[in-house]
Amino acid sequence: MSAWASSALRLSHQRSGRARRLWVRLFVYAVLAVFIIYFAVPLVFLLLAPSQGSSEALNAHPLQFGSIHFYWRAWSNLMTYANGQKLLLIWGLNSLIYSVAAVVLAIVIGVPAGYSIAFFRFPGRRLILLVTLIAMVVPQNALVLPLFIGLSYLHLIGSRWGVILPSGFFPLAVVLSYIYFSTHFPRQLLGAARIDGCGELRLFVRVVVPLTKNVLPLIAFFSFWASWVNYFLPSVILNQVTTFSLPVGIINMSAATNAIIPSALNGGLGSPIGRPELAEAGLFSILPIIIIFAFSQKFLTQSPLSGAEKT
Amino acid sequence: MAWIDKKDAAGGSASDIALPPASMRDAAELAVTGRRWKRPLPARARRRERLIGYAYVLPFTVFLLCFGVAPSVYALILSFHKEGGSIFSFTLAAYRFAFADPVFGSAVKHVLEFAGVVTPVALVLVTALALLLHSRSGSTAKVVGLLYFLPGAVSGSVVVLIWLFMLDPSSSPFQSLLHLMGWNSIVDVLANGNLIWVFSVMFLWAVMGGWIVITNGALKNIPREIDGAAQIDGCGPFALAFFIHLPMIRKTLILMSILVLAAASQIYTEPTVLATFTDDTVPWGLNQLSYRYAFQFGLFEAAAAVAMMLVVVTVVVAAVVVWRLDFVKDTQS
Amino acid sequence: MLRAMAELEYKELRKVFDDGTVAVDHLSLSVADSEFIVLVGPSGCGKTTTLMMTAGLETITTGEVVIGDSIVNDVPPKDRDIAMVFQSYALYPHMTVKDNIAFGLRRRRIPREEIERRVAEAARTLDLEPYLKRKPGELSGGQRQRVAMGRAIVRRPRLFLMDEPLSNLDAKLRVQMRAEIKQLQRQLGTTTLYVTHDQTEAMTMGDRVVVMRKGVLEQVGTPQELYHSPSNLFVAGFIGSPSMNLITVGVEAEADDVVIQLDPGNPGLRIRGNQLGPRLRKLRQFHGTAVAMGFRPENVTVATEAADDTLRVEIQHVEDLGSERIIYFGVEAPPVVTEETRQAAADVDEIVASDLTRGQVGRTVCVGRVAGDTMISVGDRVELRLNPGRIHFFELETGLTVAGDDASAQLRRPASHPAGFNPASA
Repeated sequence: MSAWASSALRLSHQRSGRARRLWVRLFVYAVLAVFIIYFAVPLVFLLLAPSQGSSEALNAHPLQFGSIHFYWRAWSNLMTYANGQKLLLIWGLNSLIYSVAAVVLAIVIGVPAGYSIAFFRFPGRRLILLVTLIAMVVPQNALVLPLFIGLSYLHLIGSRWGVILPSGFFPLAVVLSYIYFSTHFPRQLLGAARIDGCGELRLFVRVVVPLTKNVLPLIAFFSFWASWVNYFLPSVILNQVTTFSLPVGIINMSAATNAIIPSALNGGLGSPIGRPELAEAGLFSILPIIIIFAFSQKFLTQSPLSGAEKT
Repeated sequence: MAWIDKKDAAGGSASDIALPPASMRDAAELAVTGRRWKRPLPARARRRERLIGYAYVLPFTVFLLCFGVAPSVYALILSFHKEGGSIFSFTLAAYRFAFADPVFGSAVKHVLEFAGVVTPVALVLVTALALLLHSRSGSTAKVVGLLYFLPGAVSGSVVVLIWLFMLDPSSSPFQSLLHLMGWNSIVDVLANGNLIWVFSVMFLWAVMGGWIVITNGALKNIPREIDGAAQIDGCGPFALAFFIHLPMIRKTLILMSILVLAAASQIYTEPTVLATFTDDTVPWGLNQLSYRYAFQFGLFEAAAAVAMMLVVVTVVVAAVVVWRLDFVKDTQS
Repeated sequence: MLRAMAELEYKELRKVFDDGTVAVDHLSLSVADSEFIVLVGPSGCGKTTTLMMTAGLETITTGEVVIGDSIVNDVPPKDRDIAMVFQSYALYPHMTVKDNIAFGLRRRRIPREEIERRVAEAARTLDLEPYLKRKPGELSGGQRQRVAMGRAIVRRPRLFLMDEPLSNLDAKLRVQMRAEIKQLQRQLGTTTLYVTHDQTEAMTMGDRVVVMRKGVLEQVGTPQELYHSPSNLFVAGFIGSPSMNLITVGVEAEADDVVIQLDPGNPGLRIRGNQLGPRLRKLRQFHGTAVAMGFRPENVTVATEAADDTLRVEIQHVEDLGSERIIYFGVEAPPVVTEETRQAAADVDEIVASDLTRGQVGRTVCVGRVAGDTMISVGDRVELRLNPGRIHFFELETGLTVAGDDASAQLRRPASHPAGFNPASA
């Protein structure tokens, strides 16, 4: 091939290659952007809605920023709701209690179980793992009713323990720790420690526990998240307003006003809870966990199933 | 389970490490290879291992039984229980009652339609978006992935709240889109026929982000050399995704489909919360129906029957796939 | 000299990564048709990056890659008529062996019967027939490696690219596969570019070997050329196992002879005028300065009495292999410590000598290979004769060989030529 022809061919390859790559990139960004709008706009709305006072909001665009002043006003309305019980803060504290308890229980109960299934042979081991996997795949929703009956039998209805105890059953913690122990944990360490004459309990506390720091954040994240976001079971178990978690309380508060339907901007019926207040309450309920989400990205980008996809 | 056996075979038997070495030779072998010298385990050592294993797994087993197995078994028994009869009574009355109830029929229809829409849509969109994210560089992918993931942080009840604002043509940022569909007030949007779509939009909004992150993570596990080999073999970007990436993340996709299907069929929060605002008294989904039977009419048997039907279908599908996944694991790399 | 048409050519190839690292620096090379050329060097030397640029899996900063008669810089990998074997084999785990091998052909829409034929042929050649229906996860390392080879040969490409395909195999299998790959290549006649960090692999497999370091081509030549005529300190220390002994010596020109000086008090070595040949002339120019002197372990024999060409040494360690004995002896001269030798040593497993050297100031422990029945033991003081024709000298600042004539003096980046052209005469 002559030098001219070959450099012409090369140029055409270059151009078509570059053009193709550009179109592909545009297409990808366009699609990704559409879904950014879908996922992010409602949250942006939530962030901006409390900044609009009632009169402005009638005319302004929903995503426009009003003024900081209105954030404060909405907040004081929320605090004075229901005779100034500061319910929103109480609900926040409850959510925190329930979620932290869930994390502690999930870890304390789940990690030893995963350790045991990974390293010890005993009859029923495979059965427990199979049942756990199935339980993980079947969401709790369908079992809320029998759970309710059982908890009522234990006189736990209306009690915080009625929410905390069931959250201790977190099969994902066992599965995650099992996967971790059977793939990434250095087994030889156990043998070496035993040769050194280490007793079982000491082995667990001194050798195994410090090395779980790779899997604990993952378990903590998921159990905290599951508990913070849970609506169904707490709504059925809890009946005293001061024990409500945030998801339950906010709906309780919203239903008591007329802020949604018809969408009055003030809460019709003379209630101070209108759209800005509800939006701010919603913001309050999701802010802690969104912050945790943002900081957990590094260990979440590695798929929790990564150990399972390979053998 | 084949999966567990294979892991044992690969890493040395679990019990090999569990027992204290019986002699210096055992100890040396153990320290060097992590594997025990193969000879039959003395009965005493076996028993000890069993006891220790049980001890560590005991708390979880208790919780598993109390909050996993017992409610399921109880619901099962309850669904066949004769009202007012002894514990051992058996009757299909509860199931017959549910089937006869026209609301049951409409609830089943709703759930089937909803799950039937949401599961394939979620599968396709999550896969597509994960593949698109995977093709972009690290920083873009991370930020966009996080944005997709954030809605998952929102509780189901607050999701409804947010989307009620989003779907109200008088207050929504999507006003133009809603007006385009001919809806001028929130009542129009929440008309009965539209509920499937309303719940789909809410459900997908909250659920897809997490799965996109997980699927993207699974894609990241594919070694880059395989991409190189596929490129040399003649794959363009679409062929690469279709012939190589998708089959290699099969397990993740299957698991996602099951979990989304299960969550969708058992939907409770969204319809219930919406109902408190629309003052709608008729249960829309099956879980709501079960709740209604139990707490409004005190018909615990019927409630259990409905719950059982929901659970059984999900458990059967899940068990079959979990079993098959492990089976398949051995033959796949 | 007739220059055969090159099948693969690099013209001032250069790769600079985003963080500024220069992975490949102005590499120029000509590979003839059917040649088996090996790129060898320590990790980070740019050999894999060069391979990736040839495959099209890595972008080229400047310079050209020419396959056949066309510049392929912007040609996508699938259109370059190449096939590649990866270090980890990169087999598709979800496909059977047969599908793995056939995949590339199917993507190119080759007719079904042709695909069946080629796959069957490849399977027969590589002994893969019983495994066609299995998946890669069910195969051993050696079998997987053969599947990767099968996937490459079935495409009948113009160029084979291999990225350390044997490094994941155990030693015995590696030796076996070395021969098999070479035989296969000879049979097929396909030009092959092979990357490895193992100099033994390079020496046993390559028609020509390219030694690289830090992105630069250090020397290219046949294994014999590299072994007997290394052009610089790095190549000298890198090629050969056990590696060449290197000591720092002083040069004194005395009449017709050159006296090699070790530490004061040591009589040193006297090289007669007629023993070195044309190199001697160049060496005389270094009168009064220090140079590096290198000699290979096998060029050492035990002498009965002291002479001009012997060194008095003390035996520190002996390894008896039966057919030969490896002796470690202390020479009263400092070791050569330059960047080149450090890098060369890092990649060759010569731990014993350097360990022994570490404790001794001004002394180098060298390695020798002598006949198995040589009567020698630890602690002996003996005279060792070095074969003067096989002694190498290197400038200390540049690391370059002190060569015979200026015309064949090595440039820092020697241009490379296809087999047959020998720039360095020993």
